[in-house]
This record gives sequence, C-alpha cells and structure tokens, in this order.
Amino acid sequence: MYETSDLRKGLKVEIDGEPYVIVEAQFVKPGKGNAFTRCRLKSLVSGLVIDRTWRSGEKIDRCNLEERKMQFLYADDQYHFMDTTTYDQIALSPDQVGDAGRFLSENLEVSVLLHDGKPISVDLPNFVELEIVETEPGVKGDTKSSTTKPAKLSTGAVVQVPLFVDQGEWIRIDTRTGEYVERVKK
Amino acid sequence: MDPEGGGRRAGLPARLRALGRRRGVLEARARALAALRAFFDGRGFLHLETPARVPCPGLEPHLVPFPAGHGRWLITSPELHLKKALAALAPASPGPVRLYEVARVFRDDEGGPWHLPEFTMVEWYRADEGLEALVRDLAELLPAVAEAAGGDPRNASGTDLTLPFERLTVREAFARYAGIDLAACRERSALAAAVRALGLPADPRDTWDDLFFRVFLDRVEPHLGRERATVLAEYPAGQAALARVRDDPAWPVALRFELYAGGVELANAFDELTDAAEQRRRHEADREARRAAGLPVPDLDEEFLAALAAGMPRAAGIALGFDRLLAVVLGLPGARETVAFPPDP
Repeated sequence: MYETSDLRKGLKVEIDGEPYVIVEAQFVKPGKGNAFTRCRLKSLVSGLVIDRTWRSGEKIDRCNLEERKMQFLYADDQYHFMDTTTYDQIALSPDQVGDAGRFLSENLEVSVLLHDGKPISVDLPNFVELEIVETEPGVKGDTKSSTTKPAKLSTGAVVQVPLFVDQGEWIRIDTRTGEYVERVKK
Repeated sequence: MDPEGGGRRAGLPARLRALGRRRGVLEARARALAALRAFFDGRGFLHLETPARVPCPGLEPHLVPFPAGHGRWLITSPELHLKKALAALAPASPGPVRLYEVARVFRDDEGGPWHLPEFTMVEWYRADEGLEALVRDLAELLPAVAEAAGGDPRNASGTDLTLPFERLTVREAFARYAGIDLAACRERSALAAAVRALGLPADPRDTWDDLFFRVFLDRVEPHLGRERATVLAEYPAGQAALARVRDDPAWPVALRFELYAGGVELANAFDELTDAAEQRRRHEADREARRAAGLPVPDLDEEFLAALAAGMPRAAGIALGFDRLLAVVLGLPGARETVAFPPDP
C-alpha cells in the first residue's frame, strides 16, 4: 500500500481494481483541517482521466504491473503476440492495442503492459520501418517542396509522405507522432 | 563583456544562482515588508518579538511542530505569547492594546508550492474590537503591500484586493457551490450521504471535519478569492480552534473568517476566546486528538491559561501568510518563489 506522501506524478496506483497513473498531484492543507492530496489520474486501461482526493493517513493500493517483451505474430479479430523468453502466446483486443495497431508488422518486437497478468496495452518502439504498398508515383528530385501525399503502408495504415517517395520504398515512422521521418534502404 | 553575469557566477551552486535571478522579487519583498511595518507602526500597534522555542508550540491537531531540544518546540504561530502579552499590557495601557509581530513560524510535514516548512506570519491583535476591524485593516493593508511590492492592487493574480470584498459565510458557500445545507448535515451520516451524492469518495474513517473538507476542497475553495478577495466567515463550531462560538441552536458557528485571494488562503482571523475554562477544555480535546493521531503532545501552556483567567481583554486577532500574500500580489505560482533560500522540494 502507498501512503499519501508517496503520491506523485508518474506513480501507478490501483483504484477499484483498475490501474491508473498519476498525471498531477497537489498537497492541500486547509488552515484548520487535515491535509489532503489532490490527484488527477489517467486510467491505463481506458485512458479516461479522473480526479481523486486522499486524506492524509488513507492507504492507496499498489498496482501489480509488469512489462514484457513480446513479438507480434498476426492479427485476425484479435492481435496475437508471443513472449520472446517464455514463448507463451497471448491475444489482445483491438481496443487494448489501440493506435499501436496501425504500425504493427509481423515479428515486430514490442513491450506489452500487463496488470495482474492480464495484458492492458502495447508500447511500440519509438521508430518502426515499414514498406509503402500504395502511393502516387514519386516526383523525382522534389526534395524541397513541403507538399505531401498520402501513402498506404504494408500494415494498412495511411501516412503523409513527401512527394519524392515511391511505392515499394521503405520509410521510417515516429510512432509517437505517427509521422514520416525518412527513407530507409532495404 | 558578460551581459549574463555568467562569468562571475561560475562556480556558484545552482540554488545560489537561482537566488541571484530572483533579485527583483527579493527587493519587492523587502519593500513590501517595510510598507507592512510602517502600516502597523503608524496605527499605534506595538511590534513585539515573542520566543521561537517554547514548551507549547500550539496544540491544533493538524499541525506538526519541529522539536527544538530540551523539551521545547519551534512555534507554529506566535499566538499564545501574543495573547499573554495582550493580557499583561491591557491594565497598563491608556487605550485598547494593539500588538503585532512579524514572526518566523515552523511547520513540519507540509509540502507543495504554497507551503513552506518555515514561513513568515504577520499576526496582529486589536483589544476591545471585533472581526470587522480586522476586515478594515486588510482592506487598507493589502493594497498598500501590493503597491509597495510593485504589483497592482486591483489585479493580484487576477484578484481585486480593494473594497468591496466578497462576503460569504461557510454555510452560504456550501449551499451555493455544493448544494449542501450544512445545518441539515450536522450528523456525520447525513454529511457522508451528501458527499457521496456529489460523487466524491468518502472513507469510513473520515471524521465530520474530513468530510467537510472533501467538499470544501473539491467544490467550494476553487471559487474563493478569484475576481475579488473573499472573506469567508462563520465556520462550523467544531472548527473554532481559539475563536468564540455563537451558539445558534440550528447552526452554531465559530466567529472566525479566512481571507482568500488569488485562489489562495491568505489569512485566518478569530474573535478570540477569552474563557479560560472553555479554552482548557478545547486544549485538552486537541491533545487527545493529537495523541490519537500519533502526533507529539506538548504540555498545556499554563501561563497562557492563567493569563486568560486573569482577564485577557476581548480582542480580535488575525494571522496573515506574508510569503503567500507576496506571491499573489506578484503573480508568482507559489510561496516558494518569494524567499531567498527555498528549501529542497
């Protein structure tokens, strides 16, 4: 259990069985009353933000979180991963995978966050490399213009790329912003 | 040339470089303090220096004093000694006694940008007067301090510090901002139900006061001292501390007010309790609460109780957080920003 004095930004706690991360914590003490810690928390499951205030002396549940390295295998109506040390396989729903699903390609190594052994979210590497399977023909030499065009990737995701990039080429994507970074040679 | 002064500062620890960068604030602080002293000195207040190391630092059940060796503690406010002086000086004075002190006070176990473990408290007393005299003092003092510090009295962190202040009782504030009639929630179970109806969490071990503050902090306080300075008066009788109580059978209240500005509590005022027997009873209850909470339990200050029994004059007294006031008038995000040597967070 945590004490209220442990509460600070970034700490992960459990409320009613659900894991949350503290995004803001503020110590408040009325002139003639007990001290309280006012927190804003984000659910690690739903992403919803809630406010919660704890009185000094209250205990807050720790949250049993574990991060495991896993390899993406394939997707059907669910996303299937394999633990790279134990070879256990698990499946996550599209909701649990969320936006990460756009850039999941076969054999990509990701980290899966588990709460009490149950997967709750997927963290991609900051950069992934993917092949463009569909885009308008490249405009040779146009490396100056800031105009972009849509390109469909092998995962089905569509990103904006510069005009000189061609179908069949591989590009590097920043998964935190979902944006094109550069061309890569494969 | 070295426009940044970086060359001369090379080798200075980071905290001292930060001090150098706060020079403007520290100069404003010095001017504000001088203006505050001039305000009281010009109105017949005697500045008294009371001891910082005492056997009884105050007994309020939520304050944690620092030990100071030999069974003594650092004061959490200069209140007890100023009242002793009030009782001692009253018979020897031609007119009503007026006392003030710019005191350094110490409170352990408090954190965050608006709490400092040692801070500057301005406390003053007016014998033979009531709370309205203190409201008038604030209405003159706050703009004077703001101007001396180079701030705008009409825009202190967005708050107008000039008259008219917003006036609210605690009961009115709860009705307005939380839809709760406190007079109908004098039982703990009734208040707990009201807290849950608001969708706020309530712990089974919460006292009535804890439930009160859950609502207060969440729903009421965010509205106080925003556009105008707010005088919030008439606290629940159980939160009287060292104030008199008005025994209205429907809703007994403590004759206290707090002043809010810039969204922050700046001052706390009492119509002072002068009944020695009642004061002893409350102090014993406070000591019991401290024991139950595992806090240090200092001895009763018998000299203080004897002073009340011998005839402390009817008086109004108030404590103002000087660091907070300065932060608000300068638009700074916390009291820490106003001191030369803020402690490690």
